[in-house]
Formats: sequence, C-alpha cells, structure tokens
Amino acid sequence: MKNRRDGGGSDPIYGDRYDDRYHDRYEGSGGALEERSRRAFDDSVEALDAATLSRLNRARRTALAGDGGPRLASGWQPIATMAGAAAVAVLAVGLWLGQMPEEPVAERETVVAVAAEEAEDLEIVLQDENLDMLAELEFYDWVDSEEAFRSAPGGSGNIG
Amino acid sequence: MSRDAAGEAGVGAVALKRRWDSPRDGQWLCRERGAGALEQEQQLNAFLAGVERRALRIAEIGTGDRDEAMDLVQDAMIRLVRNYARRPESEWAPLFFRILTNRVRDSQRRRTVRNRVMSWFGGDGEDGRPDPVAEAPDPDTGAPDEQLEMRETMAVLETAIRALPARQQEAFMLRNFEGLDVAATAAAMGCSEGSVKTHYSRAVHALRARLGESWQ
Repeated sequence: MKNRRDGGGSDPIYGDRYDDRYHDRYEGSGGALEERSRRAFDDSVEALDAATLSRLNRARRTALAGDGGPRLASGWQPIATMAGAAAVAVLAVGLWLGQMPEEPVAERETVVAVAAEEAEDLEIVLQDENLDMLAELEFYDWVDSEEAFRSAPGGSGNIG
Repeated sequence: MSRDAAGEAGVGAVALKRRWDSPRDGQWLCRERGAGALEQEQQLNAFLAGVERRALRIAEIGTGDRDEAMDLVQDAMIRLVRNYARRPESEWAPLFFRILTNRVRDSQRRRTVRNRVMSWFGGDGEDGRPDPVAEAPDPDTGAPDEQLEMRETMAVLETAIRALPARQQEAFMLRNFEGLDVAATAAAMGCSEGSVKTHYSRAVHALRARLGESWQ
C-alpha cells in the first residue's frame, strides 16, 4: 500500500482525489499533535506483522467471494435466537414485577426504566448473532429454495 | 419460485438472482462473471486492500483487541461487498468506515455491559493483567530502539484516544488517521459536517491537554 506520506501521485484507493485530500488535510490542520499522531499511526500500520497481513488478505478474499454473509447454519439458529429474545423479555417482566409493590408512580417509572435497561444489557450479553437476518427472512427462504433447486437433478448451478 | 416454473420459463438461477436483486439496489454482488462484474470485483479488491490495514488499526484502537478488530474489519468488508458493491466507488470509503465505526461502537458498548454483568457475579470481566505474550515485542520488525520508541509513542496515544468520548474518537481517527475530509467523515459518522468539526476540535483539545507539552 502506498504510504500517504510519500506525497503526490495517484492513490490506489482514492485515485486522483488523493492529492486534493492530502492537501486539504494538511492545509486544514497542520498542528504538531495531529502531525505527530498521524506519523505514529502510520508507523504502527507499516509495522503490522506478516501473520496479521495474511489474516487481512484472507478476510478480504472471503468477503469478495461472498462466503461470509449471514447464513442459517441450521434450522435451529433463528429459533434459538428468538427463544433467547423471549427469555430476555420474560426476565425483564419478572424484574419489573418483582420491584413493583407499593411504590409511588415516579419510583415505578424509574424501576421500569431500570428493568428495561437491564433487559437490554442482558440481551447484548446473550446475543451471539445479530438479528439482521430476521429482517430478511423472505430472502433467506428464497436462497433455501434456490439451493434446493440447484441440488435437484437437472437444476442449474450458476449461482456463485 | 418453483423449480418447474423456472425450467419452463428457461430462466437460469443467475437470471433469477438478478431479478431478486433488481428492486433491492445493491443487495448482493452480482456473481455473473462478465467483464463488468470482474472489473467491479477488482476495484473492490483494490479498495479493500488499500484501507484494510488502517481500518484494522483504527478498530484495534477502538476496541483494544486485535482479534476483535480483525473480526470487525472482516464484517465491514462483507457488508460493504454484499450491500454496497454497486454504489459509486466514491461512496465506498465513507460507507465502509460507517459500517466499521458502528461495529466498533457496538463492541465498546457490549464490552461495557459484559464487564458490568460480570461484576454482578463477583468478577471484573477481565483479569486486568497484561498478557505477556501479547505484550512481547515482535522480533521481526525494525531496529529495537526505534521500534520501542514507536511502540511507546503509539501506546501513549492509544490510551489518550480511548479516553475520549466515542464520537470524538471516531472524528479524530477518521479525519486524522484515515484522512477522510469533513464531508466523508460526516457521511461515515452519520452526522452533520458541523458536528464533525465540533467533535474533532474537542478531540484535539482533549488530546493536547492529556498528552502534554511534548505533543504540542
């Protein structure tokens, strides 16, 4: 990769915009702190070891091959995710009910807010997979049907 | 669509895929190995190869963990390729760093919560002791004195950056380390250009105060 401190010329990432960006940045800042921190950062980037660079290379190739997108590993994964979310909801209600008795309205509202926050925290802790895929179930269903189609005798295998 | 219907219409799986993609602009990188798709993949490869190392270090500073940073960078790559490959190339950098900074922020929040939950059970979430293997110098890189000085300088800087609020961290690293301009940084952070300038200015002032005269 081109070191940004090398100056002019086109950059593989930013193309001809590279010079403008470089110029604007230095014109806009120029403070010693910015310059020194940038130099330290660039040095640390250049010093990345071969194993790390190899991992980055593999990560990039995986991304470009489209092998790393969300997959339904099994039919149980979305069920387990939803069950976890349901358990969190039940726990939140339990926490809320457990702290409800004989408290003034203002305190109850505080308790509800705290319980909701705790439930959200627990959800984060329990959450191994994000729920993006739930928003695209229709698409995954379509993918499943396509895979079944491809694996069937006479099916086309043209999808990457 | 059933298999029979596809067969009767003489429509291959690639065409079906394209039809699925068409109303969902940029949903998936077209897998058809035509010249255009190949060129696009090469451009994406060049873009990702160009940003990946700095992205890793930015994520590592944000998370304090290289393995986690590696996962976040790979996730950002996957999402960029999957969702935004067809967007103009000029948008890739802000989109990529927007995905990455969101992931870093999620990671920071998750770590905070995890530590809080662990403290309920009497632990501190992390043992707090440095890993001697992780702390050991890399034997492959440069002159020892120079490397040591560089590591110490960067360690001081990273500690100071991590002490900043998340939005100031993002503004400082995207502007100063990645070199995005104000508009691209605003796009990456999902805020206005004025907010970027405010966050960046506050970050620089805070870092000056924290790092002392030697950094002025």
